[in-house]
Amino acid sequence: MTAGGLRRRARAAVADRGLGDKVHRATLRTVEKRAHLVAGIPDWEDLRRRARAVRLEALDRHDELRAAFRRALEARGATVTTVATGEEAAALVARLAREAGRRVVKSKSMTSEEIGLNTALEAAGLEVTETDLGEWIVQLAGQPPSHITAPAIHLGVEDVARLLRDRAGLELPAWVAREGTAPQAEREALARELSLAARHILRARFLSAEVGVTGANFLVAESGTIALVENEGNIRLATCLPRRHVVLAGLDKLVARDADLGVLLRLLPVSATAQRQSGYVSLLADRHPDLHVVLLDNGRRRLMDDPEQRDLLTCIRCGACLNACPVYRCIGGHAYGGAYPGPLGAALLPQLAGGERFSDLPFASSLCGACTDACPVGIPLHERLLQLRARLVRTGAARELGATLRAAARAMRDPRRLRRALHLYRLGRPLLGLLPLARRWSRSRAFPPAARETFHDEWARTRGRPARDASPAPSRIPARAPAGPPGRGLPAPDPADLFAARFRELGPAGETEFRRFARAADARAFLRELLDGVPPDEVVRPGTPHPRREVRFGMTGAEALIAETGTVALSLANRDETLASLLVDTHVVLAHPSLLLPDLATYHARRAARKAASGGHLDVLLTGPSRTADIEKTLVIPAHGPRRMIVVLCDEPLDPGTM
Amino acid sequence: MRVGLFVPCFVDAFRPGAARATVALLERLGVRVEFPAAQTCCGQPQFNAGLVDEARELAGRFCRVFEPYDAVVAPSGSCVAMVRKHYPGLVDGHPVAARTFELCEFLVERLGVVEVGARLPGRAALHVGCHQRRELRAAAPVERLVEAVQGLERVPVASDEWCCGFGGTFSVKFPEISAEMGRRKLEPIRAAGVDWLVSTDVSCLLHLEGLLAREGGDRPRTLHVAEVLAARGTTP
Repeated sequence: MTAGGLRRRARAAVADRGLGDKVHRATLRTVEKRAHLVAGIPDWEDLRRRARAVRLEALDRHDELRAAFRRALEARGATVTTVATGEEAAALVARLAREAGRRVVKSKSMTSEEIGLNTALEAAGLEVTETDLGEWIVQLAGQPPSHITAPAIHLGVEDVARLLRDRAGLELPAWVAREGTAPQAEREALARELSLAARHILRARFLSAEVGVTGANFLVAESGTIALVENEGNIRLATCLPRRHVVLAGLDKLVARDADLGVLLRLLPVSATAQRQSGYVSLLADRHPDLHVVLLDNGRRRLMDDPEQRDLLTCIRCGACLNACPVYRCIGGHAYGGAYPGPLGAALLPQLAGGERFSDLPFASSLCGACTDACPVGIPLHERLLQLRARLVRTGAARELGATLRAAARAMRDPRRLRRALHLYRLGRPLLGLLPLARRWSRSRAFPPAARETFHDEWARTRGRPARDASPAPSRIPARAPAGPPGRGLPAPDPADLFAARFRELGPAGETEFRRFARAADARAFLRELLDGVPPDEVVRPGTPHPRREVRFGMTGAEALIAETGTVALSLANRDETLASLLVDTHVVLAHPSLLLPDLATYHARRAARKAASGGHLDVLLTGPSRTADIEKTLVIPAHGPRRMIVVLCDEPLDPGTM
Repeated sequence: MRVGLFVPCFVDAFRPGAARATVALLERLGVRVEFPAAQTCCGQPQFNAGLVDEARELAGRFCRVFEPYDAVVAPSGSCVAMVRKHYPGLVDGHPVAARTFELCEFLVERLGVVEVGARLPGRAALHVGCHQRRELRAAAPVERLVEAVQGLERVPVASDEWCCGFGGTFSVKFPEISAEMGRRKLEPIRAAGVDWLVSTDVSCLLHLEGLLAREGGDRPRTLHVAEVLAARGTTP
């Protein structure tokens, strides 16, 4: 093998058992929660098929879609630049940032990891702050992320506490200081304290940054929409507060239609974090005064034309294949040595520009197929690894064991030669440990004893002739009766009830509150009581400018309420308008029951239809208060956005501007 | 029906008892089994290591050897997955691929048998090999057969669906990862205190057995599923 680094790194990773313990705990927890959620989604397999179809279609139509996306963005005054290599992309982002200022807030972006963007930005004299909690933690640690959606999965709460002590002057709890252990409740309390400290430190960075750099989950060609998915609110802050917004995204992020989001944005949160819907989905199609999109090729365009491997570009970066992968669980993400770990990384990294050094990765899989089962867009990942192995052998890039396997194949041409080889094994077994290759087995495993007589020999000795057919007939069981027709559907529940139930689930400690009123007068009385004694400058309403500091209450209306997920959708003219639901302690939503929609699919279909007529606005989907689980998967509310969310549903119209 | 028995090389060399048990079981159920002596290997080691030409040659050989049979049965999910799932891409459209079955799927889905009259005392963890589970999608027949064995309690454990870490040449290309996967797989099995670790694949068992031997202790002992299904109350 030309690139032997993976085995060396993996050996070190395996030796650190605590690492494997942490990664196992976190990934298996997500796997279990996801399986539970998927079991309740009857059209899951259909969604997977549709997702694969729309993603493949986007590859087929790539050049056309990229041109359409560019036209849509340019019509709104943004710039769109396609760059061939990582170096060019990093240089362009650095130039765009320097033009606007010195301080950059970044949201988590695997594409930026792929091109080493932070190093380039810092070399250009910029001050870069990662704002996703997990990503900020690994930035403090001077490490790359080790998981696509959980960057600090390899660190324990005590590691994070030490990092924050050094960088943010925090005091360590006694059990961490003496390198001891603590019960789970205490670990969770510390995770919460650290998450809230991070919120405080990062808030100042958001407010002073001149540039926000984000990735993108999807880029919609027909409307020029930039879709961004998160839980913490850091992406919303990074796209709303700084003057300039720079988007760095791979060519593979394009999709044709807004309606495609109705499929992809349902699959992604379930697969990534085992949520029905992520906390915040921003669908940016507004007329931003200073927006720049950098589209990265770096080998993608060539891969699109590879009939065998192109579907790797349909990946939606959910990380489900990492969680499902027993290799990843044992070695963690860093051992892979590139931006994309796990089965996806093992298949993709060797095919991006400069991928030669990753030619050992496709072999680092037991081909168990758990990744293929987990992939929400149906990429047969383990088959892609197999095909890559064949290519690497054909081109001579992978040679290890080749001679041995060819010799074995020759022996297998003839059963007598095979038997001679087995005989040799029997005789030589005590000495096998002297062979380097054999030692690779025996360092951790005993050699199996060879049988005294192979089955071949035994059969030849005992049954020269065909066996007699003298046994009793098999007992047969009837084939299982097909399941009966499903029971008559129960009457459809009131969407308001489903919304209320799902919305309440989002605030396990009362962070979400749902109130329903028949009469506007009663709703007004409730709000009067809620705001009693609150100074007027602590309440932001539509039409009043946000002071760009956190205020206690933000009052808004809604564009839609989505029952299936407990989501509130807002439609806004510009990014300042989003602050009333973001830079506040409590977000109060006033809504009429006519805004209720059954599910996300309906929402996205309606948004797609509406788009053609309007344009020039942004939509934000809010599913509960801001949250993070980046430290040992401990849920902490709030992250960067509101701590509390109240939905007031009133049968008579209410105007949030006057409440 | 002419049934050809394929005995994978691992089974032949290290666990011929599994092949013997397969024959005993099938004959007890009235299936006459033939064993073509020209058979060797399915070619999976070469195929999974990227040596496609060598694999194609062995696949062609396999198909020629088993051409005369109406069905081919093998006590290995992994080799059968190689034949049924990957041969079509190697030896275009050869009919042998589609009529090759793993022992348990053959019993349940072809013969319609679930109760095979097996008796084995003790508690067992069951490892259905990954290729049987995810490529053949045939974990259910194994579970049904094992759960119907008298005296045997199948104990579900958290790592039931995890790969054992063998992975063919993976086990020597990345031995540290392979062994660690096996140890992680075994932790819940050992914690469950079972008497037996049963698998559909001898290759998985050799790897797990090798790890168990290094850890010491006399439980669990490993058994191939054919040995379990052929057991008549005494230890196989």
